[in-house]
Amino acid sequence: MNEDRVESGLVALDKMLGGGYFRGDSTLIAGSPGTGKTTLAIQFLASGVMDDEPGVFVTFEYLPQQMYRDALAKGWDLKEWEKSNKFRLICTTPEVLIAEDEKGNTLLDEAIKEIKAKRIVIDSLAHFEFLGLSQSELRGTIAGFMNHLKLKEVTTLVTHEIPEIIGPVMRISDFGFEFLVDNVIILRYVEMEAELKKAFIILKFRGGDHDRKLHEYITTKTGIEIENPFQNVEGITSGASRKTATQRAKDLI
Amino acid sequence: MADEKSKLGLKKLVEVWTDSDLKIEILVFFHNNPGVIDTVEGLAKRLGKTVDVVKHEIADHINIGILKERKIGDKIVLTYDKTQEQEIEAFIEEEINKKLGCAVNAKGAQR
Ligand SMILES: Nc1ncnc2c1ncn2[C@@H]1O[C@H](COP(=O)(O)OP(=O)(O)OP(=O)(O)O)[C@@H](O)[C@H]1O
Ligand SMILES: [Mg+2]
Repeated sequence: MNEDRVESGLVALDKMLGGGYFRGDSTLIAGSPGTGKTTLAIQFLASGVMDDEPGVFVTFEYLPQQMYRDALAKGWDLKEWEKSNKFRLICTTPEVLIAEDEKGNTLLDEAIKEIKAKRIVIDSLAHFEFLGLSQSELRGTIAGFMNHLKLKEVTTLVTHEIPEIIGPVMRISDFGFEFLVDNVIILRYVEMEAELKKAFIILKFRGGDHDRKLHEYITTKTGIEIENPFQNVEGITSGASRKTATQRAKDLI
Repeated sequence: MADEKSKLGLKKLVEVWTDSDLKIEILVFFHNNPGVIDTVEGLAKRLGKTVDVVKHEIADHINIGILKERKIGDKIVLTYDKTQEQEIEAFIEEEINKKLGCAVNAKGAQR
């Protein structure tokens, strides 16, 4: 692995990214409910644990006991990772997370220092919306937070919910969060021949070429598995796909 | 630090805590969720209790150092001190499970 790249935890995704995320960059995983955002985030930290790159997982969403249980079912023993100082699980609120002491340090900074973390996950950004800030204040707060992480030289993955389950996605967030990160990955449901499938899309990847195809993926009991690109269909990004004209013609023959 | 003083403190608490299930509930909560860092208000929400009650109930935990109070920005947050985890685990297994087990079973039976 190239020194300036960081493994994503999925061989297929590393390939799509041309060798993994860039070290120190931030990636937004935006997706509809239940598409596997949290799973993809843990897979990222799991690969770090194997690679001697400790990680901190910040959750505003689940209690640790739920996280431990769900991750263990997928074969990730988070408690063991914590014992060997390869991992920290922090369950808090955005207010507490961004609060700084007199020296300008946050609780996350302390956790990073404690285990020499190289990877961070924030699950999910949607909770910052409960801070009751105006859109511009919120954008400023998150921009500041992301800059803070950039200075810590950690590779960061943040999740965000797209409320639409199916249909066209007009915007990822109301506060333009997709512009504050280096990379954007979208996980979404697509309807295909009366079946709900899942599409994995790299929307933006700053500083590098990447696979622009829409890949099908599945969630399994060991995590997310990216499969081949969808073939001979169009309109996937609108949520409702249909076969291409050529494919329809071929079907007729 | 899991020094003699705090060990003694924990032991002593076992004796006086029988009157309050919430104190035990809070201990078990942090034992199960050691990564929770929150204000008293946040903790109260997580436990579904009022702030005043939780404030009152956690005084002992803070006294013997199971919970630490920290000022960060304009907030005071509670963190769980994992260094006493071994004693707490033993404590929970031996003592609390009995009590909570009864309570949980009683609740379960009511359903
Ligand atoms: N053992 C399993 N086998 C197959 N799929 C599973 C398994 N466990 C979980 N899943 C799938 O993973 C999905 C949940 O993954 P995850 O919690 O990572 O999604 P999410 O996008 O973070 O969800 P949310 O929107 O609730 O935060 C479920 O919808 C389920 O389909
Ligand atoms: Mg999730």
